[in-house]
Amino acid sequence: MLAFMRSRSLLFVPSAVLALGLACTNTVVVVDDDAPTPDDVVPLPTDPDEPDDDVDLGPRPVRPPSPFVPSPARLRRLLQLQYTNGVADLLGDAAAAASSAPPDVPLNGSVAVGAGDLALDAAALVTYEASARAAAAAAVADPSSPWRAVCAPSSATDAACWQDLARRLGRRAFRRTLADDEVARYAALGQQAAVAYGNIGEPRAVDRGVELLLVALLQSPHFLYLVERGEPGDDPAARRLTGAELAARLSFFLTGAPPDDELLDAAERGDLSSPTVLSATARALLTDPRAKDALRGYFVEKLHLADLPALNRPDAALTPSVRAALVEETLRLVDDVVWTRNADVRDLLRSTDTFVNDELASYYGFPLPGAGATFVKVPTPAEQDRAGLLTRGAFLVRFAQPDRSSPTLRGKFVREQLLCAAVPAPPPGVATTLPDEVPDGLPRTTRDRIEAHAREDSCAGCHAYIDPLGYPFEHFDQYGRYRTHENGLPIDASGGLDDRTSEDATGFIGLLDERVDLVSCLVRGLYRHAVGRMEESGQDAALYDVDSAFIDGGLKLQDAMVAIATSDAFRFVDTTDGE
Amino acid sequence: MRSRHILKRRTFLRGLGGAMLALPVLECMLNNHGTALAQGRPLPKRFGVFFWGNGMRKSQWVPTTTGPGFALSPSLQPLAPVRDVLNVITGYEVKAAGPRGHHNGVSGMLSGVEFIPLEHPNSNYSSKFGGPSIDNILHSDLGIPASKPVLNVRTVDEIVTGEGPTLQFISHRGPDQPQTAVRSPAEIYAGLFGNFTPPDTNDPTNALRTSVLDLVKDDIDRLKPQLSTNDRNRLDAHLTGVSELRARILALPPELTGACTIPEAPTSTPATLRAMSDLHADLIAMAFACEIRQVATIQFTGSVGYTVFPGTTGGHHDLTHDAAQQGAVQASTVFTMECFSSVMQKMAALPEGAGSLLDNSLWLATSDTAEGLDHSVDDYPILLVGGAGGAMRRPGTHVRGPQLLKRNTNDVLVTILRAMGSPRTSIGVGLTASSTVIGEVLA
Repeated sequence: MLAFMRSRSLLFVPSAVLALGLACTNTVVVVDDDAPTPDDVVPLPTDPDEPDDDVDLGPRPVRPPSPFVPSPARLRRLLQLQYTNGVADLLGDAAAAASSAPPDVPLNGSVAVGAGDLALDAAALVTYEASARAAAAAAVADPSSPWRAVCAPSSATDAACWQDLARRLGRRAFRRTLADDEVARYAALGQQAAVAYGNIGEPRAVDRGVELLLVALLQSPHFLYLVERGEPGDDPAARRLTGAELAARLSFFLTGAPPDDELLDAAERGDLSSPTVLSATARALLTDPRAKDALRGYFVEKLHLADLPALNRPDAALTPSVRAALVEETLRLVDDVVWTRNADVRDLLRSTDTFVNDELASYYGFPLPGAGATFVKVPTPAEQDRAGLLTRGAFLVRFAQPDRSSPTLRGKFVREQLLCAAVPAPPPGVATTLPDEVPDGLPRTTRDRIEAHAREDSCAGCHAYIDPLGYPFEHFDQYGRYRTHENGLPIDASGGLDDRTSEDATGFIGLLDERVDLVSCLVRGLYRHAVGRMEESGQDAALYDVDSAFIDGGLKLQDAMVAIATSDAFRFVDTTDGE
Repeated sequence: MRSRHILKRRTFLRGLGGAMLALPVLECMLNNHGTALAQGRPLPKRFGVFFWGNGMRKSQWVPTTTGPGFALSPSLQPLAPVRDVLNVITGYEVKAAGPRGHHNGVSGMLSGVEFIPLEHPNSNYSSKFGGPSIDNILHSDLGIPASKPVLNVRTVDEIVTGEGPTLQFISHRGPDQPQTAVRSPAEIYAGLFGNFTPPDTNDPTNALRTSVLDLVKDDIDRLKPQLSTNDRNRLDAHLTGVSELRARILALPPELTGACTIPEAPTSTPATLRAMSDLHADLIAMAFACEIRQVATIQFTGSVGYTVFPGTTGGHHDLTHDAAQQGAVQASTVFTMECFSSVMQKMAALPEGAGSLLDNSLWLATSDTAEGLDHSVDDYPILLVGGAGGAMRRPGTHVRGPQLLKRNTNDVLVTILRAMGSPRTSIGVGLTASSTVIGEVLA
């Protein structure tokens, strides 16, 4: 299967190959630039143990009748990962390592939505300027930086080369072909800088000129934002993205990186307006190694894993390296389900295998795999009732209190983040007090205390909606370790989901993975991430169709990403000034 | 041609900067701090916000007596060293409060208007501020130059990021313009003093940096007409940030008169909350004394924050909601006031004019809720510390509003505007607007 993981240049799909039968969505076209052959049509890897049609989600709701309205067009600043990858593609790894992007700010639980809604603040612009200068300086000091492949000006007056730099680097930076006057302005800036440094006798004056040209490209709004205005001739309320805009949206969504020259060439020729080419291109982008990192980044965000290193959990065993290992364990589960096995995405919730090194196995009390620092796939001990990422330490530690577990935080996560249901706030003016841990000197469990609190009328409704979704994980303390007792009392891990009840974590996961809203919620989360907007009713039907494609293909997450990328809800924007 | 112009301008600036540091005689040629004072230019009034999360315990916070000789309450004991300029305001209620705990307090108290809820049927809740916060209102009202933007500092690491900008940030220029606070002392230092140690040649770099920003501005100006109103507003905020950055690149070094000295660059990040707070205070005090900044905010702990205070084991937010843990909550409040008092004492330690930097400053210390236990927003914790250049009455006093028909915390914001010399006379909108000053605290 390593044949898949070829370079980015493979994603250009000549129409001759498309004729070979891309209608089958379970294939990807791998094309060598020089010699495409039918042998390059390779089936996507699937889990041999897992037939495609075992998806049982019960009855689906009917397709929403609402007419299609695309998401409003909004500037989206690049997320940190996208910015870093953008610098890396433009100027090389040394420049990317020297760069730094301001923090992503989430709205409604999504940093992509924040990026499409909030203005850049003053501190962010300071960061971008410092980053642009550091990255550009690293790029001119790096003999292998990609800009050198364009040309190296012989002097400040080498107009042809300065223009080439502006035109070709500008196209990569802005993800579109620049207008002539744009080329002229950026080229002139580099030349002016070369002259200015020449005037003070700087021996590297020309390089310093290139450096300043790069500093400017990296601060341009056309680099920092995704500008998505659509085709000028279309209906303003439903404009098709231009080829270049679609290529950028697609590439950033699937790989966290900008489109390369070949994809931009194809896009600006109009190739992506063919649904088959678009779908095949999306499939090809998913074979880019960075697709895996981008999806890891998405799960880090969804599970709040970035909080783990600084989280206050006063236990000496939870060392920085254990915290890092906990995060890695969960991300390896994602890698395994989505990429290695391309399996039913619900395996994320129900897998009884996990990935540990010796340190983490020891932390959990698992048998030592004896592989040192290397992560290996092992079965979790059956008596610990661990099924999927909700029973892995990263989630359990993050969704807990410093001094106890938190069925409420865990249940709220399931309700909000996995089932996309809104949970109301505690009513104002109500004491959200948990009763004393030891009334009358009698020990109680965390569950006892929450149940006592939730008996109050004003609290009961919400807690009944949340807590039964968190109680199933009560065998896991705030460190993610398995326990049979708390304060000397046996753990009660019974819970439930709406009108169904469960006895333990595995039983609860069995209820959860039959829910169709688990599927639609996953799709909506990815959609927000892809377009930087919360979905609205105008996209309901289009996203319903994405759900259908996802389900019909056996719930493979790669299918969901391709279905989103080829959906009208992804390809169109509303440019009317409605806000 | 253009580059020669740039070079000449830069040469001029460098020569000026270098000469100012090396040749005191040039100082008299400039309208510098010392001479301007001699000519009667008033010292600038500085303003700061000190914010902590999750409120306090009313029973331990509210002083039992009112008026100038009031007895410090248990929570306020740490402020004894600055009590001459300490005003305690109690019994006021956040009237511009929406229906969500913590969100309502922090936004209503600091901006005077209700927050904007971002509800979605399929997602978790977020909210934004409904308008600019008091630090930015004052920055704009006082006409503070672009080279001196509000300095936003964050003491703790634990900030809630999942419920939108209202909980994540305390400084906002508008609903879509939350302002990041910086925690790293090295980064804060670089932003304040880093630009004043230029290389020792006639380096055109800084002038060229501004040429880049001019090009960025051109790009934005060309892009704007194609976009929606909302995006144009966001790009206007971008342009404001660009012009501030430009002004800072070209800013002259501070005049090393009075208490102003360029401090040593911090070399490490303090490990404790108290040490971090003190180091930040040193940097803010010097930024004020050197007139590099005039307005600052300190996000000491976060709204709904889970900071674990020394001597406690639970996350702060959940302690406040736990009736059995109110002793630990009180300890955290006292600790917070100790740190705040230390910040104020650092301001008081720097001489300025006939008094101290604190005499020419006004600090608002407040939180995101009154009693953390129940998310109440009546009887809010509000401290006004400092002389505001003579605008505040001395000694400081305790003003307690009536318990029936509670007064509006927007009165406090109006009082701040008055003390700071803002021409604005009211704050808030509709039924929760106020144009009432609290006369008892004004000179």
